[in-house]
Amino acid sequence: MTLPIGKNEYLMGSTPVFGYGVSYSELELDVALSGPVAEIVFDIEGTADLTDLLDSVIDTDFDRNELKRVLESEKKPENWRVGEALAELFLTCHKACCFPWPDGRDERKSGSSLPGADLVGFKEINDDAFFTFGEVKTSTESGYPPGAMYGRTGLKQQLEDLRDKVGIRDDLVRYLGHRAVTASWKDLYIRAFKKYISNNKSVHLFGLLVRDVKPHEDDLRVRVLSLGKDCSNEMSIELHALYLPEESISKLSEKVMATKREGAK
Amino acid sequence: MIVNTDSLEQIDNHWAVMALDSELQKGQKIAENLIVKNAVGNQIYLGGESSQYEQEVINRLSMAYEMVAIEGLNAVLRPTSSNDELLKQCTAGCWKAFEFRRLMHIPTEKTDKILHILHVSALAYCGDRWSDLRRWYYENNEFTNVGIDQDMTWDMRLLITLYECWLRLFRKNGWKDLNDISSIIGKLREDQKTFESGALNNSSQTHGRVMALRLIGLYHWAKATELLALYMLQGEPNDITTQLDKHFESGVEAANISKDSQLEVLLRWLHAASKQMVSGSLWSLARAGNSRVTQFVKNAISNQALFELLPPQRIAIQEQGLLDPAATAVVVEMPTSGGKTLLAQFKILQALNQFNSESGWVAYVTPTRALTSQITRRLRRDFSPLGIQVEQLTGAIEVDAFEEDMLLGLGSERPFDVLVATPEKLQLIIRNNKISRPLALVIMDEAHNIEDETRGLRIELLLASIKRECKSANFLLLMPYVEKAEILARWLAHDVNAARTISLGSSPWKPNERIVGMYHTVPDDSVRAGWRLKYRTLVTSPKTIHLDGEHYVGEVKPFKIPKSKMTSLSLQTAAMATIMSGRGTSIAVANNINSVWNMARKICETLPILSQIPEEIELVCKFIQTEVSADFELVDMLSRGVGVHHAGLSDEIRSCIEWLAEEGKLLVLCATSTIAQGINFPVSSVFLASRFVPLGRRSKEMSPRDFWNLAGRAGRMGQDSVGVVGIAAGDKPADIVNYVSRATGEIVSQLVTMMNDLEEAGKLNQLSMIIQDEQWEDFRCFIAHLWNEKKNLELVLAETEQLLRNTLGYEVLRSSADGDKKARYLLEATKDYAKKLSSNPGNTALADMTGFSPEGVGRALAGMNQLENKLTASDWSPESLFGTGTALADLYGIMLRVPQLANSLEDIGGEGQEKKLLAEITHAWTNGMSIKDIAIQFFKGDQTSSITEACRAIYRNLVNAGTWGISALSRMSGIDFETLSEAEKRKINVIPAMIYHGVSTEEAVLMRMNSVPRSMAENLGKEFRGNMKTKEKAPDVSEARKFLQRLEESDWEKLRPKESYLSGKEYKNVWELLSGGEI
Repeated sequence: MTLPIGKNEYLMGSTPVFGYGVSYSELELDVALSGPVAEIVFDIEGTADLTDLLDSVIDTDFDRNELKRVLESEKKPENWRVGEALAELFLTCHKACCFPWPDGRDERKSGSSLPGADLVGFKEINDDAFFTFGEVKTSTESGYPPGAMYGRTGLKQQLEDLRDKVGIRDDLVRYLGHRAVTASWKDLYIRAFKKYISNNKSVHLFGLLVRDVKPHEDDLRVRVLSLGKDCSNEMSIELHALYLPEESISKLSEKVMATKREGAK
Repeated sequence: MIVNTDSLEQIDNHWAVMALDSELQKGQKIAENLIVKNAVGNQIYLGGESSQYEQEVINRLSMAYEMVAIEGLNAVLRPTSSNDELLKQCTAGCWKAFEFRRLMHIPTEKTDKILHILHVSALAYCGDRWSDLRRWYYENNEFTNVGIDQDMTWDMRLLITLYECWLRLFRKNGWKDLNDISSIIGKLREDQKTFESGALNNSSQTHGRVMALRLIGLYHWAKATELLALYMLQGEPNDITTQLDKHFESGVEAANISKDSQLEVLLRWLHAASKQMVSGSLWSLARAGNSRVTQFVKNAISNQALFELLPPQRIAIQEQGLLDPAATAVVVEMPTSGGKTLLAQFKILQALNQFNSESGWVAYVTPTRALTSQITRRLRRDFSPLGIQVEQLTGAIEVDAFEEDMLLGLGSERPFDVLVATPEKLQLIIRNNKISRPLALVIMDEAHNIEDETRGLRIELLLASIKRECKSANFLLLMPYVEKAEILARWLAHDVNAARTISLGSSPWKPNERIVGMYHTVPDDSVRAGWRLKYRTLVTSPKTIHLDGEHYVGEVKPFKIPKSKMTSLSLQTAAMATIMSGRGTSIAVANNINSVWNMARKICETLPILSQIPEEIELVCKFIQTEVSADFELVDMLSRGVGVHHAGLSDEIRSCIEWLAEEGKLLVLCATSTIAQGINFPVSSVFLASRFVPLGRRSKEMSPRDFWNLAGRAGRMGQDSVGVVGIAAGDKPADIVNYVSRATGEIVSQLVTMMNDLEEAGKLNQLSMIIQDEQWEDFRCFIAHLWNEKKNLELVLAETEQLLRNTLGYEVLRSSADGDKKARYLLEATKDYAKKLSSNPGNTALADMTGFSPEGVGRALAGMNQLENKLTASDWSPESLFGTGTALADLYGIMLRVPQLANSLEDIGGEGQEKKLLAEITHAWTNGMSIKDIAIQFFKGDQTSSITEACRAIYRNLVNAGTWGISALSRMSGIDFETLSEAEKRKINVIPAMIYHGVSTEEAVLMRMNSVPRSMAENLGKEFRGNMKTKEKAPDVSEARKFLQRLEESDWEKLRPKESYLSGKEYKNVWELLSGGEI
C-alpha cells in the first residue's frame, strides 16, 4: 500500500530549487496511518531491548541508576515521529527515493545538536543514482512559516548546512558506506558514490515540513529563494510542505497506537 | 595489520579509487608538493598557501581511499582466517587515506576539530603509520587544544575529556602522559554525580532517552580508554583484546540505537586503532620471552617512553622470524632510523638467555671507535638495570693489560656479558683465544663495510674465522640498502634453513619523506655581483619525492661573496647548509679537511654569535679550550652554532661535536665524508660538495650504498616530514642525475673483487707472487692463523680448502658463471703460501699474537736484530722509553719498515727525521704536553693547520700504528715473559696504552679508559691510587669506574688543573657525556 498522492496546492521556484505544497484529506491520512506508516514507526521485531545494554554499563564502572530510570520509563511514539514517517513514505513513494537509514530501530534523535540528516539514502533517475539527504520538521504552530523553520536546529539551518558544508555530506556518505558493505543496496551505493566522488555537489536535498494548518505559499517562499542563491546547478533541492487536516497532528500518535493494537494491516 | 607495497598497488584497482579517474594523479602531485612545502617552504620557494581547490582534491582522494578501508573494517574488528584479504585491504586503504587526510586544514570549531583529529589519528594507526602520526602531532601541536567551557553539557565534557585522553594515547609524550589517563577517567566518574542529571533531565522525554544512550556510548568508550592506557603501560590485562571488543561494541550499539552516526563511526575507528595499538605494543614481545626480556620491556616503557614497535621492527619480529631460535644467521637490511638497535638488543637478550648456564657472551662489532662509544652508552643504559654487563674495548688494535684482565674474567666484577669492539680488536681476541667462554652471538653493525676497499677483507675474514672456530656463535648483520642480502645470511648459517633475511623491500615504511636534488648558483642582478641558489629534485631509485622545476633557495647573496667566487662547490654547499639550517641541523660535506675549515669560516662570516648560547655548547667550548687551545677557532665557530668534524680533531672532540649535533644544538655541521660512519643519528638536511671521496692519493666516486647511507641521515623521524639531500651540480650535472638513479646492488666480497681485477689484468697465474702485496695482508694473516693452529704442513694443506670455504668470496668464486677457475687459482696460491710459512713457523706464531702478517713479523725481527743497542727488559719501561734515550726512536724506525704500520706513520715530517720526530712527539704526548704546545713545537703553519696536523699525527699515527707497533714489538723483543713478575709484565704491557691515551702512569690509563679527559687523567689517577684499599692487588677498569662514580663535584673541583677552563662540575659533566651517561 502506498501513500496517496494528495492534492497539489502550490508550486514555486526554478532550477535547482523548488517548493511544493501538498495537502491530505482525513481519509487519505487514516489510510496511511493504518498501513505503511505504522510499519515504519514500529520496529517489526518490537521495541529495542535495552536491558542488555543497560546491564553492560556496570562494567564501565560508571553509575547507571539515572540511565536506568530514564530508559525504562514507558514511552510512546511521539507525534513528530509519525510526521517523520509520513514524510519518509512520501519521498519513497512519489520521489523515487529509497532510505536505508535510519533502519527501523525506534530511538531517534530530533532537535538534538548533532548535525546530519534525518533521512539518508538514494534517488534514482534513469540509470543514475544520487545520494539523497532529507530533513523533516513537524509543527503544530499556526504561523507561516512556523518556528521550526528557524533557529540553530531549524530546517533553514539544516538545509543550508547540507548545501554548503562538504564535511557534513562527506560524513553522511561515509557513514552510509559503513552500512553499505554488507547491504542489499550496495550496488546503489557504489553508483551514487562514483557520482559523488567526481562532484560532491551532485546530490539531492529534501526539506519537508509537516503541518496541520491551511496550505499557504508563505511557508516556503522565502526559503526557496534564499536556498537558490549560491546553489550549484548540479545540486537539487526540493522543499515540500505536507498539509494534514487541521489540528490532526496531536492525534497522530493515538491513531498509530490504535493500529498497533489491532495489528498492522 | 602490516602493510606491504603489493596491497597498496592492488587497492588502486578498487572501484572507489577508479572513480577518481584523472583526479588521482593530480591529487598525488598536489599532495607531494604540499608535504614538501609544509616542511621546507620557508627556505625553498614552492608557491603560496594551499588553495581551496587543492584541499578539495586532497579531500576527494582521502575519501576514496577511506571507502576502500571501510569495506574491510569489519575484518579488522573481527579477524578470522577467511577475511585476511579484506584486512589487508583495510590497512592499505587507511595507509593511503591518512597520506592525504593529514594535509587537510584542521577545523576550528570544537566538535569538528575533535572528530577530525581523532579520525586522522585512527586512520594513521590502522594504516600502520604511527611514526608519521607522531610527527603530525609535533607539527600541529598548537592546533590540538580544545578547552572545556563552564556551561558545557555533560556529554560535551565527556567528549572533550576523552579526546584529550586519546591525544595522550596517540602522542605518547612520556610515561606520565599515559599514566595520568587513569586518574582523568577516575575524575570523570566523580563528575558524573555532578553533571549527569542536568543532561538527562533537560527537555523532552525523547531527548532524555537519546542523551542516555549517548552517555552509555561515552561511558563504554571511557572504560575502553582506561583499559588501553593501562595495557600500554603494564601489559595487562591479558585478555585486553576481548575487553576492548566488549566495550567498543557496546558503545557502537548504543550510538547506533540513538542514530548517533558521528559517535558510531568514531567508535568503530577507535576500536580498530586500539587493536592495532595493542598488537604493536612492546608488550607483545614480553609474552614469550624470558624474565630479562620482560624487565627490559618494562624499563624501555617507563624510562624511555618506548611503547610500541615501528613497522620495520614488527615485520622483523612478527613476520620474518628475527627471534626464531632456529635462525643462526640473520641479516637485517633496514634504513637508518628503522630501529635496528632495538632488534639487536632483543637478539642479545635471547642469546644470553640461551647460553646462560655456560656464561656465553656476545660480541657487538662496530666499524669505528666513535660508534663503539655510542653503542656502549646505549647498551649500558638499557642493560645495566637488568644486571647485564657491557664492556667496551678500546679502538687500539692491540689488547692492553687491563683489557686482558677483563677478558680473562679476573678482577672483582662479574664477567662481561656484552663486548663492544672494532673488527680489528675482535680479530685479535678470537685468534688468541683470549676468552674461554662460548661466543653466543656476533652482531656486526654497518656490515656493508664488507665491501670496503681497505677494511672489507678483514671483516669478511673475521666472520669466516668466527664461523670456523666458534661453533656455537650465531650471527646478526645489520646494514642498510643491500640487494640479495640472503647471500650473506646463507654464507654464515650452518644450513640454508637457518638463514634469515629481514628486509623492508616490500614494506612502504619510511622514517619520513625525502627529496634528493642538485643545486647551483644563478646570477641575480638586483644586487651588485648578486647570485642566488637554485635547487631541483631528481628521480632516484629508493622512493623519494620528485617535484617539477627548479626552485630558489633562500634570498639573494646569502654570503657576502661576489658571484665570481661562488663557483666553488664547497662554498655553494656551505650556503645551502646555512639557509636550510633555518629548519633544523644541516650537514655540509666536503672531501678534504681544508675545504671543511673554509666552509665553516665562510658560514661564520654570515651567522652571528647565538643570542643565547646553549649550556651544551658552552661546555664543549670550555673542553676544547682546555684540551686543545684557548683560541682555537673552533670555539668561536661553536658559539655561532657551527661545528666541524674530520680526522684532524681528537676522538673526544669529535664525540662532543656529534653529541651537540644529536641534541640539535648546532645549526650547521661541516664535515668530511667520514661523518657517515661516525653518526648514528639523523639531522634535517645533508649537502655534498662532491660525490668523490679521497682514497689514498687519488679520489674515487662514493659507492651508491655509501651515498644512500649518508643521505639516509637526512630527516629526523619525529620532527622532519621531509629530509633534504643535495649535491652540488658542478659542471657535469648529467653525471649526478645518473649517479643518484643507480641501484645500490648486492654486496660484493673484496676477495671476489680482487680476483676479478687480477683476471682482467691477466695476472691470475702470478697470484702466488701477488699475494705478498699489501692488499693481501689480511688474507695472509688468515692463513697464518691456520698454520699456527695446526703447526704441521700436511694438516694445513688438508684443511686449506675447508678454510677458504668459510669465506664469502671463495664460495662465490666457486659458483660463478665461468666455472671455478679463479677459485682454483686462489686455492693453489694459498697452498703455496702455506708451504712458504712452514719454513718459518716462529714468525707465524708471532703473527697471530701481534696481528702483523708473517712477513711483517720477519721485517720487524730483522729490524730488532740490526739495532746497534739491543733492547733489554729494562728498556721496556715507561721511564726509559719516554725518557731521553734513543730506544723509542729505534722502535719507530723498525715500525716504519713494517708495511702494515708504515702507511700510517709516514705522513709525519721530512725524510730521515721521521723516527726521531715520532719518538719526540710520543714523548711529549705521554708526558702530558697539550695539543696546542705539540702543534707549536713540531708543526708549521697557522694555528689551525698546525693543530690539525698535530691531531692527525697523534690520532692517526701514534694512537693507531704507534701503539700497535710498540705492543707487537714488545712481544717480539725476545724478552722471556715467563720470568717476569706480574707487576713487571703489566708494566710492559701497559706502555702501548699509555701512548694510546697520552698519559704516563697506569692509573691515568685506567682513568682514560673510563673516558676521563686527558687533562685530568693524571690527577685523578693519583687520587685513585691513593684511595685503593689493597695496594697489592692490581687495579682494574671497573674498579676505576666505581671510583669515578663515587666522586663528588667538590672532588673534581679539588683535583682539576688550576689553569683549565672547565670547573670541577663541568669536568664531571664532560666525563659523564663521554662515558655514556646523560648529563
